[in-house]
Amino acid sequence: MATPTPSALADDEVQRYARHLVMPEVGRDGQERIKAARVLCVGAGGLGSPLLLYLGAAGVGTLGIVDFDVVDVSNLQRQVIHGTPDVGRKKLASAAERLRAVNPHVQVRPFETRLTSQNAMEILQDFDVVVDGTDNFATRYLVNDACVLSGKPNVHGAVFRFEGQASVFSAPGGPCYRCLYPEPPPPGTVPSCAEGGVLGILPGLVGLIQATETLKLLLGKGDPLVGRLLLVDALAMRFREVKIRKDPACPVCGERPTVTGLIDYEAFCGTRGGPLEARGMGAEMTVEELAARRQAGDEPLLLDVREPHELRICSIGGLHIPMNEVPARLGELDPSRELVVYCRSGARSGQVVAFLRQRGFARAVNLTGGILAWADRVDQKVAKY
Amino acid sequence: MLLGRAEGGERRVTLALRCRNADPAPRRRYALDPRELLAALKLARGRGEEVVGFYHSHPGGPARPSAADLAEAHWPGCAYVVTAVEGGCAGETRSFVLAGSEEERRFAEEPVERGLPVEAGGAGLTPGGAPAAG
Ligand SMILES: [Zn+2]
Ligand SMILES: [Zn+2]
Repeated sequence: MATPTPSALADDEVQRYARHLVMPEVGRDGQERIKAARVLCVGAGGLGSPLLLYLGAAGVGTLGIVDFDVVDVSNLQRQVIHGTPDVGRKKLASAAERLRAVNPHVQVRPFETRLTSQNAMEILQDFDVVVDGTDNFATRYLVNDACVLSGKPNVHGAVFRFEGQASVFSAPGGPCYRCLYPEPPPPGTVPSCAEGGVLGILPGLVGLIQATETLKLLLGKGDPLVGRLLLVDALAMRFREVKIRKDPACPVCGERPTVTGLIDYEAFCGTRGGPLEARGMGAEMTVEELAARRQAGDEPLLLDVREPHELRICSIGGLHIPMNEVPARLGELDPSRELVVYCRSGARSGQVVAFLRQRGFARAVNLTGGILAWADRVDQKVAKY
Repeated sequence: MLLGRAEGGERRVTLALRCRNADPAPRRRYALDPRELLAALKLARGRGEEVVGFYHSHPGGPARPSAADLAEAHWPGCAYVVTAVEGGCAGETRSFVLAGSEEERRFAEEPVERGLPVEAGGAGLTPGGAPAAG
């Protein structure tokens, strides 16, 4: 990221930012950089609320906000930029008003729209840093790819129940979200915060980690969360880091990218902006998780929904009911048991999981990426076809 | 990776998970695949346990962490267990707890007690703890 050209401070701003100006890491020069900076926040919800408040208070000159939602009373438990009188108002209007009250020197640029493949590059072009406060996978992949393609850092955060994660993706030389998760989990297999709940304080904690990383990027100071996924466990109150490397085979930032322009992310994620929680914290199962459960002697029941001729090519075990026969053969399955459904790529089994969940199989999960992912990442002896 | 419980400065291992070495030079260094690490954390949570350590071997090398091992170790309070391997046979096994601050990290050796074999073909190690309950 090119650090913004400093923009001179007025006298009342010097007073306002006095506690920054005395810090050698910020100082007048740093504060002027912050003032010149343009930060885009996608979503004015749980993560966007605290980070917008603090970035505004810290003096970020231009804050772009993309949101088209309306404040609901159930948002107020965590979306602290909105107040009780704002219920029913546009989140954009409520957030902009609150930011003006916090700091009139901040210019708010509202985008009352859903971020789409059509408008993302145009919206992003006027900003230096993008902060991801989205609540669905389609937008998360869109933000990631748009940031990689336009060379802008993507300050990531996610929360679910008592857990959260944060990282800085798409920074020069660093990995992107797809280096860790090349593909989204199949639709219907991941509970949202609305279904699973979230401790109201957690988006505050994680959103402010995002705000901190944003200011560090603008100042060019410190050690940014690049190549590191920070995991926050509020119950244990423990912060852990997982090192992430830039994947040379990444479909968007790798050596031979296959994604060179924005795609249809809702089709890619198989859902119209479906629900989201932080990856790896919920009901979808990765091949690594299944492998670990196998090693632990705690393997869940597997259900192979491929056609009989595919079974002859290779198998990773379990019960076999071809996809089309599942509705008629539900009686063979125990709805109270954990059930991991798989197929070749995870697409058909994703549909089966969505069907099973409708029928009360609350513990049915899809094996993300199916046999192909298993063959790639766990057991190379399994044939790929 | 080693799953189990940590209490009173001791770690009791109940499960040893084999992991792929994601390093491009796997005979000389080791690196965890972040997806496997996230999977292990989720498995531990499901068992009411935590990730208490990491184990690896040094083919033709001593049973103590290398400088690269220290550089790659980031989880304070976890045990880093190293087994020397000579001529394809496992030799000495020692365990080191990551201590100190992020700027000044160091390994502190701890006694290793062998309890009952841990699950999943693990080495039966109980770093710094009483005999494992199994
Ligand atoms: Zn990437
Ligand atoms: Zn080593």
